[in-house]
Amino acid sequence: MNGIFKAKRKLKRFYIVFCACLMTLTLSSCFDFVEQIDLKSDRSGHIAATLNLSKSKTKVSSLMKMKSIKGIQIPSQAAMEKEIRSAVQLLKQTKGISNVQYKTDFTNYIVNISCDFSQIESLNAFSDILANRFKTKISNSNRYYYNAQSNVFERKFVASADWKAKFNQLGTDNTTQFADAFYTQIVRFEKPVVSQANSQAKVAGNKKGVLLKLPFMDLVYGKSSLANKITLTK
Amino acid sequence: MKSKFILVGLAYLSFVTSVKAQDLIKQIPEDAEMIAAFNMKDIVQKANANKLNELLQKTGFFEKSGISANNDIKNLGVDLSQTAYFYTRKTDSVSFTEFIFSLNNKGQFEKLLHEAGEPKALSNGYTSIGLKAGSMLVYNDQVARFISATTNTTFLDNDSVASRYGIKKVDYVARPSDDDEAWADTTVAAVDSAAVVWEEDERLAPPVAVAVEPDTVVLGATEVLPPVVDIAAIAADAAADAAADAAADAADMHDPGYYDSLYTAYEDQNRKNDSIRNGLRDKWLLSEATRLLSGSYKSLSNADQEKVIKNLGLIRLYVPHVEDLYRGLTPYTSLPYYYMGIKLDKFKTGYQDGILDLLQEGSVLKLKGSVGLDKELAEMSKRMYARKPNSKFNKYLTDKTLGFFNVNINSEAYLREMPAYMAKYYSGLLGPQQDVVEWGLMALEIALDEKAIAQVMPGDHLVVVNGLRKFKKDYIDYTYDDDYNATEVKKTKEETLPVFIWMFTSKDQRLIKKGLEMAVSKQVGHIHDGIYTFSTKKAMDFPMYVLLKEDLVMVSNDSLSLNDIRQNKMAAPVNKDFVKLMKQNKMSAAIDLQKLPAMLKEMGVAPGKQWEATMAQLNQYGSTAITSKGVVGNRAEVEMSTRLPQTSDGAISYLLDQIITELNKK
Repeated sequence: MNGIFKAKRKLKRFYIVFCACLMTLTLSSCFDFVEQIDLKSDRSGHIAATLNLSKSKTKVSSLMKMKSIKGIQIPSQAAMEKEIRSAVQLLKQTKGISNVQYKTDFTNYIVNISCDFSQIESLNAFSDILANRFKTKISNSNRYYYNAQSNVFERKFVASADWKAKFNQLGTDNTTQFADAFYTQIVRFEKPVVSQANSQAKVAGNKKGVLLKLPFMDLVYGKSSLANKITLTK
Repeated sequence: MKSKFILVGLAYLSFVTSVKAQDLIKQIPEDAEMIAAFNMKDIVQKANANKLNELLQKTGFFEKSGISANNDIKNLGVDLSQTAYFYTRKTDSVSFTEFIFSLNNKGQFEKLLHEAGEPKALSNGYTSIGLKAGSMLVYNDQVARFISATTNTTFLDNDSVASRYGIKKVDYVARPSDDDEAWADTTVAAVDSAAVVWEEDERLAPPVAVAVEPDTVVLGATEVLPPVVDIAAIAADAAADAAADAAADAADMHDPGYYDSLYTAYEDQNRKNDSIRNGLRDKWLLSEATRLLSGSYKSLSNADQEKVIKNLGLIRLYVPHVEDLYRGLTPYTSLPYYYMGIKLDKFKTGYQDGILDLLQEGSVLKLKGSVGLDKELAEMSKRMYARKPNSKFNKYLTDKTLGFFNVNINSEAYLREMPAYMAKYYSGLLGPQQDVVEWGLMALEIALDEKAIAQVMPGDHLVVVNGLRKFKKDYIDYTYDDDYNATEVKKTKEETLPVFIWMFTSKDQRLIKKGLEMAVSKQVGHIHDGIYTFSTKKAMDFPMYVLLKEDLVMVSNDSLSLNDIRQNKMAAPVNKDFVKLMKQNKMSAAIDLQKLPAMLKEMGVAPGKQWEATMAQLNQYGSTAITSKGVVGNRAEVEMSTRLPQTSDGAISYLLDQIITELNKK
């Protein structure tokens, strides 16, 4: 019986967060998700993920003033903060992850979570924990690999059919409102980049970084991909 | 001579019709709690019988019910020219509802019921058919009555009542560790002591069958979590989590091993109790039907009958005693109120009867409500709402106005009357604290200078939404240098938002002006060209502006509008309909639906494809308004109306058209 209650509790918590994400994503059309990775040659590094809704803050703040809309519960600021703290706690307990920091700005609606990782696998754990915790998994597969011997950093990414189906349900007139939503990924290295495989990515002036900024809808519909293979100098 | 015949015939017909309607209403017992009257003739006429048939046909009514009525409601055997009634009646043990309607062809009506069961002769010439549990349909040549009963659970929860009917109370909860004796009296042990032998560890953890909210677990930073999270397990766990939890729920609930003997005994006793309850309900239902059919109950009083049928629109809901209904709905016997000394049974509302009417006036659909007030409350309310809106408000209701809200109270009378009002109607609630509260209210009455306060804010308020304006809004973005190091930058974008102005009369503006100047001196705001500006803060997305002009105080989110007002540049013509609405009422709120589609488009709000047709049609709609004339006679009145697109058949018919169009799309 205890198990049932625990499960219900868990589901309730997830439901709140799921609704928050859904409301945020469906009713506020402009947002930026920025992921910055600094990778060292020993496979350790630092990652910072930022969700910036400040372009839509009028809409978000209006939504936050309601308790629910169309039967979907809108979580309070306190509930959101509590969830973020829980995610941070989970990250702190994760093997290979340290120096977990988070910052919330509910005036501009910006959330930032960052941490150090000791191995590339921990980076995958970081992504999985946040995606699962906030039910925002936009890919079926999102994995980072770094082979220190061959000096190849690789990100594998397969768009999720679930998200595509969810967006299709919104109808084209609603999905067009996401034209100003972007996913930005920046990866910086200690060594210069020799080559990179994503045609939409750009290499930094000092050759030690790669930037990939994609419209969110292109990612959802599989028109663009975060997948990339970056080869560094030996 | 011929015309005389016709006149006499018509008079006779109308007499017969009215007698028939009155006959039906006489079947309603005098202690009915709530009564609804359906003017079937008007409904069928205004909805247009052909459209109703089409609607019922499209919704599958005739098909699903197996009705051989040739797809025509006129062939149901129901007399659609007569008013039908619904009412509820309550005793301490059971609640009854009855729906009464006239028949014009018993044979046709009986054909509808061929699948429901075998008709049986009941009493007083009535035939009965049992429908779903707890309800029955009885009918004769002229009338059909659908009666249903629901037992009052709290009545049977009472120990002495329950034992009188053989109901044994059982709980299925964890045994309290400090109250073994009491537990022995109330648990299943009392039902079958041989079946339950408590082991020490069992007694602490039997499954809980009563509805209990799961413990609240604090999830903050202090939450206790496993020391180390296995990376591989997280991904697998998260993916399988929801599915596994749901599966565990389902599996647990269906596994016979999940239930123990305690649970079985509990279920057995509950089944016995349920069958006793159901038996009682059916017995009481039959007894109620017999009494109703034999006319044992005194009919609704003539005064109440008149209130139900006089000037009946399409549908009327009538509550003879609003205060009783309110008390019935309030859990005044609950323990928290008891311990707090609050006696809700002593609470007086001053409300008498309540009426809610659904009316159609051409293309306008109205919902009109009123509540009768006792003499003292009516007089008091009249004094409290004795105020007209400032005539200067008129020019701010222009043809650009999307919507407005106006309320007019007499704040001087309000402050003066409120202590007496609270003492009369609420003090009974407070039990031992009554004297203290009355003393406090009196002190407040003495302390406040109503006349002076009324000079600062006499009580007339108007909020207008006058179109849209583009506002500049800051947001945070990122720029990247050549090496892709991100820097946070502040950018500005334009957002189109509705412009509102809230205004109220203030003949003595010294207090407000002093407050505004104090805010300026403390640099909370600043003043420019006579307009006070308060900048954006967390709780306020846009700056607020305040203007004091003549005897008006105006607060807005748009400085340009206030600037226009300050310089008397408001050039838009007055919206006469809105002004009329405001002047004729103590409270009014209206929205011009025609303007809504253009406004939403300009704001960049896309309501979605499914709303496209509706949005396009809004151009043909008129205003939707909620108004109240305050207290008229001894009744507090409120009205809600929507002007639907003009069609030859009227509002209801238009609504049916819309529903049929939607059904045709499927």
